[in-house]
Amino acid sequence: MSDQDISLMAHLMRRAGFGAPLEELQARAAKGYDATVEELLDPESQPPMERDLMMRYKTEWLSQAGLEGQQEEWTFRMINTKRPLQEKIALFWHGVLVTGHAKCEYPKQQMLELDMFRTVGLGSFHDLLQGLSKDPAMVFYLDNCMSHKGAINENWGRELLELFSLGVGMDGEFNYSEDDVKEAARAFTGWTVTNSIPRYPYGKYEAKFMFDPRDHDGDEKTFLGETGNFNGEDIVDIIVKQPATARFVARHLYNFFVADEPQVPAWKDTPPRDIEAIKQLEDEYFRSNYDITSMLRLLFKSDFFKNSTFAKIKSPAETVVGTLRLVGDFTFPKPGLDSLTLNIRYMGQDLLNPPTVEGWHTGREWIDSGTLVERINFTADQVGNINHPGVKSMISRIGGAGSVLTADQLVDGCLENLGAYQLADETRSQLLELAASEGDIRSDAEGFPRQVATMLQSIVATTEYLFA
Amino acid sequence: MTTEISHINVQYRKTIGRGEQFGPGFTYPIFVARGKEGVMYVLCRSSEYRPEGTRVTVCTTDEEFISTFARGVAQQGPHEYNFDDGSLVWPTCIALDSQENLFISDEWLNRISSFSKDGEYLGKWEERPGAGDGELDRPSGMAFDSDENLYIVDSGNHRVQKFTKDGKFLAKFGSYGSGDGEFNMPWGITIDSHGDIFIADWRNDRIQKFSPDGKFLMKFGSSGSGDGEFDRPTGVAVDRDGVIYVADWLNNRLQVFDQDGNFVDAKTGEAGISKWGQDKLDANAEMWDERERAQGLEREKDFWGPTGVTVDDEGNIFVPESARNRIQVYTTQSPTFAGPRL
Amino acid sequence: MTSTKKDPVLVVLQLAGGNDAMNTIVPYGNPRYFDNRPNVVVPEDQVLPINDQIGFNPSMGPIKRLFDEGHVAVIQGVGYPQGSRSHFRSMDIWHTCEPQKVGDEGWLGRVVRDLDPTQENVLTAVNFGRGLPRALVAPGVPVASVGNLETYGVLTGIDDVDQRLKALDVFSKVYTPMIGQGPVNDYLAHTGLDALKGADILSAAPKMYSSTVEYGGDDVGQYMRNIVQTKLAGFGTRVFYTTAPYNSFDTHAGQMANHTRLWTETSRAVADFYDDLQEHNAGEDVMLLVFTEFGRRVHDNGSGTDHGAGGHCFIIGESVKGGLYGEYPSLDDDKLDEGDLQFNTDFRSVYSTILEKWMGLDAKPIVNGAFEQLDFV
Repeated sequence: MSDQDISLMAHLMRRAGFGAPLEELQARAAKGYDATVEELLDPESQPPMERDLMMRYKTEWLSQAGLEGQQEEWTFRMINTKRPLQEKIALFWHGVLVTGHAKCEYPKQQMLELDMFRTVGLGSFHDLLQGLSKDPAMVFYLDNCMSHKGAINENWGRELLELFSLGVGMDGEFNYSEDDVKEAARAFTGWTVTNSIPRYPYGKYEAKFMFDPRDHDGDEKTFLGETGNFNGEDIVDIIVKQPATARFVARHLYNFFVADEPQVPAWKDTPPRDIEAIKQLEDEYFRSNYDITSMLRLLFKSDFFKNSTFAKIKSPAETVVGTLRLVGDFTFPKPGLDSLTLNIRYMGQDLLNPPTVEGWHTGREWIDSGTLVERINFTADQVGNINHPGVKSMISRIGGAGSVLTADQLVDGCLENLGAYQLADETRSQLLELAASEGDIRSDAEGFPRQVATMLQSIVATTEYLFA
Repeated sequence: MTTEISHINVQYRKTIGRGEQFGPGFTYPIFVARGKEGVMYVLCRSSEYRPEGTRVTVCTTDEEFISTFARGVAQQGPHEYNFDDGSLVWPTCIALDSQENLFISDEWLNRISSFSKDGEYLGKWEERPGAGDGELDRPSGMAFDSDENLYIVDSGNHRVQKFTKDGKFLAKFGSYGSGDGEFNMPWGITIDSHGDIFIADWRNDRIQKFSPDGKFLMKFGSSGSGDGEFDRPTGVAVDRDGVIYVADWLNNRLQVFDQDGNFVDAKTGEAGISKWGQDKLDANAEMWDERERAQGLEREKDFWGPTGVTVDDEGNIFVPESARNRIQVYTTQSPTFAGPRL
Repeated sequence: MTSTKKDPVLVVLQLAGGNDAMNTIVPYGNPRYFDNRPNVVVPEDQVLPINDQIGFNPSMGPIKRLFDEGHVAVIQGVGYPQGSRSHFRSMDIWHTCEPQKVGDEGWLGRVVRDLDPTQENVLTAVNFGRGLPRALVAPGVPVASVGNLETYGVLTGIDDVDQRLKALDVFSKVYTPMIGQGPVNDYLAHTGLDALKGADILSAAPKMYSSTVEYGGDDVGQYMRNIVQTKLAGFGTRVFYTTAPYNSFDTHAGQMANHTRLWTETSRAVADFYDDLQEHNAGEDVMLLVFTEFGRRVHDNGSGTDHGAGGHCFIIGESVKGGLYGEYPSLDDDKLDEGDLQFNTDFRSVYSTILEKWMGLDAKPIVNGAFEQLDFV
């Protein structure tokens, strides 16, 4: 197996999952790239999380009542799942089809939505939008339960078109009109949720979706050029047929899995970074009947994907989870998970509680002088902890190169173990200088683990390591 | 159902508790111990990010609040903890000795701490993580026998160990597996009036019964959701007539068996508004109106996460529900004639 | 108003969890108070009177002293229409000034953008405590968030001093913008150097500071001290923010003991902060806003109080016109809103007053509308 195989596998696992330690990359590379893609795309082929164990020790994960507890639970899943793409796709859709705790106030309701993203999120986009329209967290978050026959609330109708499917525009043209928003809102009247049981004294109960035919506007509507007595399902049926929706899904997948695109509000006027790639994904969207798994299969096997290493800035969740998978900590529930998980928030991504219905801005907007300090210090603390099992393995593998290592061997060993990272020449020469500054690098010396750890810490502090 | 067992009639009595981070109420109650004179001790596990909720709530069976004591561990960082004596991280069970001192197991610290019934910290057994004789790996359920020896479910070692009250190792039985007398991460334990030991063999989805010296006597239950089947049973209790009660955790029900382990009944919950719950709603009166409007209010009756079951000498059965912050109380009608009139 | 002075500074102390308004400024002259609070009540003879109707909680002596000196404005009955009883939602509303929808920017984030549009000073706003409150979040506005001022810095996890210095030297070199890297890498390099610069500057603050004031050991006390240290170091910070520990004012049960402790600590921290600035002759350009997301239920629940509406906030400073503002909300049954105090002053009036009269900014785009100006400045 070549270095290229490892480096490509590292790339795939970072994007389709949350990265993997070198021994896993080697095992996967031995099985082959395409076989790994197929395994990732078929999560059910791998064992699920052991939920009984998780809830036995983390009692609060059963009731799903508190935001922090659910952030912990999701983080734990992302760290330990054998089905990395399932959690990754949930994270993807959570950032696109947004609901937020600040309004919903019941994490269990959002966790039910995440469960839908985990399964339907890899199926048909048509089914996903239908499910989303009837998801109680969404119906409440975007006020469709406040939209009535004769007195519509446009919030859901608008965001469905603007942020969840068509997008404002493409190729400089608008994708829909204000009338389309109103007509869509009319079609969804009567789609509501149950009146809830108050949280005192025993806590909340999940809401259920309800259709109230008396509150539904059954009259004729004209939506995106089609006319009929549409209801919400009809609206979704019309939406998913639109070329703009294909563009929207393709561009979001590209932005999340391939390379940072401009922020969504710019998409109307800013063409895609790689229009050829987007066109392939659009074609696959229609060919496969809107199937996300098919689009991802094309994506992961494409040259445009394979050539996109380090073209994305990691999100806070990817940073924290990826680091934990590397260092091998929190493989079993234990105290400390709460403060660990809060680091994702400190870096600017409060999971289940995005700042707005637009979700989080991505790419370079993850980084400012405050969040950068959080990110660097967190990753450096983790890879610098020579008691972590994953760090121990790295040290022993790097030390295996010989009893005396060159500065190049130390730097390259660290880069390989962190996931086949590559550095700009200038950065590399700085790190070589640092490696050489302590004299001989002897793998049998007492100070060797610390020497490796310091190099790992210096590497994770570079701009290169901000990327995936 | 046979005629011999048809007299076992379990009925709902009432609900105790409400969700509260401190004071009167519970935060993820995981176990109930019954003291004398109507006193009950409710072990609240709470969560890492609300350590103040980790505590013992002391109240009466009539829901008079008495006190709270002990607390969780506030964290300073992922690896900076101060596990002071008397603090609790993953408390799981309370065992009461004859003076009503509380022995509390902690699955994270591998520690057994003791408190007086007034909440004074008395001490702890030296932590002894490991798999050797007398060492513990995630101690869960505990029960004193009539000689005040303490049986501890050593869940991570898939066995039961017997200690003196001071923590001296006496005996052990069980090992990992699914055969008779073997365990898979057992949780709850109870000792009946004959001194026989019942274990909730959690991941084997069954109950096993042993003699006081650890000899396998019988087992019942298998994986599933039908009558007499379990989905991770957490607790087991036996009343004075030998009736066996099992907290069937992920099936969200209480199952009742006769002394031979034959299925009698399953209760899925009948909770109503507790006294503290009433106070809470009165202080937030618009919630009474919201309840009028609410759809699916009948769900309030259902068990959610029954993590243990405790019986007392008065025929009460207490089932704490970690996810609902309350305790449902049931009672079994005695078949013995109590007079005075026909 | 502000033109002749040094640049005005705003300090915000957030009392997270919902402070009980009625046991903070106690309406001891109103029998309805005692009717509604059979258990969670401040006895009349312990109140620190403001007049014959209301007075401070007995644990608020230090703030009462500042009030008597004329440096505390008590804004009574502050809130917003259709108050939310959710911590998250209500705090979000206070942070974004958007009671109707989910807002997209924090009000202080907008303030920082107005004060320093080209991001010349990396320390224009500093938050003490981990994680940024929504109030300070706005796209493209960097804010330093300091968990521990004494140990704040980059790569603090490298214990060996010599190793850390070497690693920091490497850091500063690899984050140097270079020609041909492209805009994203330029941005990252620039941000990295800013972070390093900010950390270097901030870590100097405690070393430059000395004072006779001894703060309490609680978080609020320590962070208020950090704010004074940073202010005195003269880095040009205009907005400081800190938060009482996670939902600490959420007194559902055991309120009498907890609330007393909370206000003992908070009052001391506030007065120490004030006195410390006085000692350094640096209080003239500093204004402190103390607020909470909502008040609590009028009726107690046996041992505490649950989430309500209508609260009080405090504006404290040498340049503040002390006194009572707004009206104490009525406790009459027919004046309550679902068992809660009715607010009479919109919190955005308080913000607008601070922004226009103190910071010298146009408040409307920051608080999303025009609101009445109060007279405390």
